[in-house]
Amino acid sequence: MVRFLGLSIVILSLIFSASCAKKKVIPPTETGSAVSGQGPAGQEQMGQSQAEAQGEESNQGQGLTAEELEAQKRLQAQKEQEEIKAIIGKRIHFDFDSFALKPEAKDILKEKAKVLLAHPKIKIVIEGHCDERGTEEYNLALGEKRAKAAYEFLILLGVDANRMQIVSYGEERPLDPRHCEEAWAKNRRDEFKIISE
Amino acid sequence: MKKIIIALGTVILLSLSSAALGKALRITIYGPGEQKIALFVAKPLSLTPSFYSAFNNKLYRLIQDKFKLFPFLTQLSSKDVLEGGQVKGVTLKDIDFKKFFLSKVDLLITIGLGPSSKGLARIELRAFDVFKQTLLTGKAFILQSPNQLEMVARIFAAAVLKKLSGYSAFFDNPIVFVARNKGVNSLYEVYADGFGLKKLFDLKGILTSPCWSFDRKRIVFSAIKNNRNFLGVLDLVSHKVEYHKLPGTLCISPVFTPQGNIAVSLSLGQDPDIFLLDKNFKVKKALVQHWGIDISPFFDQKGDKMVFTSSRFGNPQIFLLNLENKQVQRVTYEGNYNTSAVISPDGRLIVYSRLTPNGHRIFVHDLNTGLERQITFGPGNDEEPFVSSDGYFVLFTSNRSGRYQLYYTTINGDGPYLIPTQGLNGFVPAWSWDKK
Repeated sequence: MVRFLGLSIVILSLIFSASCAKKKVIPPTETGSAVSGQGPAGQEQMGQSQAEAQGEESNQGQGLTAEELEAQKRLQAQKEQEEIKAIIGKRIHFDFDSFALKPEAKDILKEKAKVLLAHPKIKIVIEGHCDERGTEEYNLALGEKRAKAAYEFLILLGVDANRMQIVSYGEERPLDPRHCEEAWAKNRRDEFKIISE
Repeated sequence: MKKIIIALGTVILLSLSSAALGKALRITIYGPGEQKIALFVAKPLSLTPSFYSAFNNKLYRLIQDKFKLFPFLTQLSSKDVLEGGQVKGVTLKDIDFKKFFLSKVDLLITIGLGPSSKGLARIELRAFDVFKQTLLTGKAFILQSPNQLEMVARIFAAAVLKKLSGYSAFFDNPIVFVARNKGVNSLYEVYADGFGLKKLFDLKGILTSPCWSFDRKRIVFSAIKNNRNFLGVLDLVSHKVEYHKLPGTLCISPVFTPQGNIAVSLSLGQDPDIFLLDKNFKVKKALVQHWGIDISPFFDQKGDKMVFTSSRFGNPQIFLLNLENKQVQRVTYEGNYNTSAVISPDGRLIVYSRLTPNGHRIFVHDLNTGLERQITFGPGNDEEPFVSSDGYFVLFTSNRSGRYQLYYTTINGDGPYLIPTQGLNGFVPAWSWDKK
C-alpha cells in the first residue's frame, strides 16, 4: 500500500511537472514560427501571459514584437515626415533683381505640389529673400514678388491658396553672410516652411 | 533728464543797428559749395579777474568740435592768427579786429566764464563778423552742472549756424534710425552731432523705414513679425507703439504726407502699389497703381510732388508724381538700379541711391536744371539718403567702415561726416521736420 502510494505520488508529480513544462513552451503563431521555433532560446522561458500577448501581436507584425512594430511604425512615420520636410523645405533660387521662376525651380515646386496635394493638412509659409546688393525697401518688395511667384505656381498646380502664407524678409536674413557672388546667389531665394500639419 | 539749462539771459544785447545786422556774414547753403568762412575760436577768458573755472578747456574743445561739423567753415588754429589770436576781453569793445582781419579770419568766437550766484558759472559766448566788426550773435548761460556744457556749445553753435545760413535744422531736428542686433531691431533717436542718443523701443522682428510726421508727434514705420507685415506707429506724446495689420501681404515704406495722412506701399493685387490711408488706417485711395513694383513714396513740404521707385520698365527707377495733375515723370535714366528717393522740402532736388559697379552711391537730381550729380563715393555701399528740412544736409547709411553706420554729407557732396552712435550700427535714418 505504501509502495502504491509512493508510486502514485511520483507519477502525479511527473505529470504535473510535464504539464507545467509544456505551458512554458510558446506556441507557434499563424504568421510564422520565428517566435517559438526560430527565436532565441531565452524566449522559451517567457511567462505565459507574455508569450500570449506576444503571440497575439505577432499576428499583425510579421514576426516583430509589439514594441518593435511600434518603433518601426514611428520610424516609418518619421522618415515620411523627414521626406516631406525635405521636399517642402527645398529652396528655389532666383537671378539678380528677378522673380522669374527658373525651370529647376518649377521642378522643385512640382514636387512640393505633389506632397501638398497628398497631405492636405499641411500648411506652409513661403519666405522671399534677396541678396544684400539691393536697397532695403526694394528688396522687401522684390522678396514678396519672389514668394508670390512660387505661391501662384503652386496654386496653378492645384494647391489651395488658404494653405499657403507668404512673407518677404528682403535682405535681412541671408543664408550666407559673405559678400560675394556665390553667397548672393544662395541668398536670392524662396524658403518654404511648414507651419501646421 | 534735468531740464535744459537755465537758459539764460538769452541773447546778449547788441550795440548795433538792425541795418548792420542785416548785412551780417552769411553763407548761401544752396550755393555751389565752394564758399568757405574762416573761423577762429579764441581761448576762454575769465569775466572777472579772480575767477577760475575748471570747465574752460572742456568748453573750448566742445565749441571747436561743434564748428568742425560744417563744410563751409574752416577753423584756424592760433598759429594761423597774429599774436596767437589772443583777445583782451570777450565783448565787442575789447576786440582788436585788425589782427584777425589781417589773418583772414571771417568769424571770431569768444568765450567768457565768470562767477554766478545762481549756478556753477556764468558763460558768455559771442560770434563776431570780423570784416564788419560787428556782433553776429551772442548767448549767455548759467551753468548748473558740468553735464550741461555740451548743450551750451550746441545751443550757441545752432544760433551761429542760423545767423550764417538761415537754418538750424542740424542741431534742432532729431534723427531716428534702426539699430539691429541678433533678431532684435531697435529704434533710436539722435541728433546729427551725436547728441542725445536714446532708444525709443525694441522689436523682435524686422523694423524698417521709420518716418516722422510733419508735426513731429508720431513716427510711422513698417514691421515684420511672426511672418506678417504690420504698419507701426509710435506716438511720441503717449510713447505707445501700435501695430496695424493692413490688407495684402506687404506693407512697406510708409510716410506721412504734409497733411498728416499716411502713404504706404501695399500689395493688394499682383504688385506693390502706393496707397493713401485714412485716419483709421483704411485704404482711402491709390496714389500709384501700375504694372511693376511701386514703392518708397516721399513728399515735398507742400505736398504737391511725390517721388517714388518703380520697376515698371523692368528695373527700379525714380519717378515723380505731380499730385495736382496726376502726371508721372521719369526722373532717372542712367543706371539700372535707382532706389530710395527723397525730395527736398522745396521740391527742387531729388536725392536717391544708385547701384554702381562699385556699390551704391548717393546722387542728386536737380529738377530745375535736369542735371544729376554724385555726392558720395564710397567705399562700400552708401544707401538710404534722407534730406534735412533745410534741404542742405543729406543723411545716409554706409558700410564704408566695414559695418553700417550713419553719415551725413551735403547736397554739394561735402564730407561725409560720421554721426557718433556709441558703437551702434545704423540703418534707414530719417530726419525730423522743423518744429512748428
